Amino acid sequence: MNKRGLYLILGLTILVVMTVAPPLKAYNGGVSPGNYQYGAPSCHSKQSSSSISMTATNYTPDPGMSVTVTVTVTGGEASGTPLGVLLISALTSSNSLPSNAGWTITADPTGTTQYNYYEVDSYAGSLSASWTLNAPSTNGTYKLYAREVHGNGETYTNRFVSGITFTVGSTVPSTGFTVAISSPNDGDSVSGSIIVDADITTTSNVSYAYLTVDGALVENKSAAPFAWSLDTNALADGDHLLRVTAVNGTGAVAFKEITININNGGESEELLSWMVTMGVGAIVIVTIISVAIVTVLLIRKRMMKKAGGK
Amino acid sequence: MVSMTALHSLTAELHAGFLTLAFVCIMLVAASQVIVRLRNGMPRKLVDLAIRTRGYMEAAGYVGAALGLIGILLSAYTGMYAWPQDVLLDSAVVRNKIMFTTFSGVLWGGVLFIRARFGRGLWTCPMMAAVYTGLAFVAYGVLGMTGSLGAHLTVGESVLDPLWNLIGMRGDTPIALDAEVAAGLAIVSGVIFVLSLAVARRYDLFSVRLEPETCQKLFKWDEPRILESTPPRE
Repeated sequence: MNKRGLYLILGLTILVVMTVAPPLKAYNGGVSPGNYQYGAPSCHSKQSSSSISMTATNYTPDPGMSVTVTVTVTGGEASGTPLGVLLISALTSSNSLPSNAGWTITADPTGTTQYNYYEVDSYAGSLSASWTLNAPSTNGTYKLYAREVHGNGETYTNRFVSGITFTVGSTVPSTGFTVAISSPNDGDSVSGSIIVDADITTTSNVSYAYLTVDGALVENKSAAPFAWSLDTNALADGDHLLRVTAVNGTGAVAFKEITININNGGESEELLSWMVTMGVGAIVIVTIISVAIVTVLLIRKRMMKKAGGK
Repeated sequence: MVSMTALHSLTAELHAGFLTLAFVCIMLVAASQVIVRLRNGMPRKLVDLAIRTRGYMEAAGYVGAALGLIGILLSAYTGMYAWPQDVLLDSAVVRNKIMFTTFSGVLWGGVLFIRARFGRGLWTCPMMAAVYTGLAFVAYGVLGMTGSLGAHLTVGESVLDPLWNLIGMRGDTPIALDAEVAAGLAIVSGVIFVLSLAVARRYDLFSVRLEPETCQKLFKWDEPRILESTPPRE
């Protein structure tokens, strides 16, 4: 075989190897955003050296109350490659979605979707991912777990097996005790300073009532009127969850949640519209006055002319 | 140091007081004019009273309107600082109050303009007297609505609430026109205003003087002046 043939065979061999050989990274492409059960992606089985932990903003929420859960991953083998985090309600391959236990994800770490699986394209050695969920509507004890999966040469995984425990609705169940939010209305678009007005009906005295926005306390009141002033300028434009929770003398809890849309970007437009209306109103008034004066003078002139003609 | 809130209360009372005085005086002059016009069928004492009353009230109305208008400007200034600046315009009630104050000021400006331009002689022309009186009536009505909004801000309600309900308006709902409607109204109003000036120029209305010798005989109305004795019955 001459030298030319040798180069040709060598080149073809390299081309075939590059085409046919599998990628060097076992977890190269990542997984699409979505809701996944505990076992998925199923191929990940090798224990990672990463460290995984979980925290929550409230471990004793009332039924339906908003809770933020944060999963933190540090270390591991996925440097510069994708890493995914799964928030689950059980360590079983089925019925492990948070929704299976009654949780409702209102925002995942992207802030725009409500999936239980979150993934970064390029893990930089640590990751903190937060989900906002509404607690189950039934009193009881609930757990949430987390699992991380990544590749980079192997199909690594790690789990937070102890999970975090929530005691939902630990207070006395409510009977004949209701909270209604009379202002603003659910779905209202608001701006500037608003008053959140609640009507609380109970056969016992209201011990206290408090307003939260997206789970954050605004103010706790121990006496009527149960109305809170809320400066929406302090909040980002968009949808926000308002919740008024009341506790009566027997310890029973009742609450009402509504969603409002804050739109302070439109406030300047509203101000401009107000100023234009005021200016146009003034112009209209001046015009009416001038027309009235001119009309009177014209009529008078004609009458005088007519009288003089007689 | 006197706070702006206290000063605003003071100026608000001042302009409301002066404009109430102006309104009452103008209405009394209008009533007196009617009594004097119908003097043949009226008790002599009443006619005498009407003649004396209109003489004083006419001047008092003019001065009251002028001072009231100055009071409105002072109230607007002190009102801007009576509330925290960053929340001043957040409230729809405050915005509506500012808007109604502006309208009231423009209307009272119209009242003053007519009185300043035509003098006491405006009463010799019944139609001009009607425009003057009507304008004062509307201006005072708008001022009352402004005061009602002020009451909503301070005590949460007003005795004029039934009036608001009657006209189907809510003081806490922002009043704003659509951009297209506002533009259309401004253009139409501007054109009509210019046309009215053109008509006034065409018919030489700028030089008109309303005096007893011009239309008093025609309408049998005379200008309010303090007379020593009752004019003779016809």
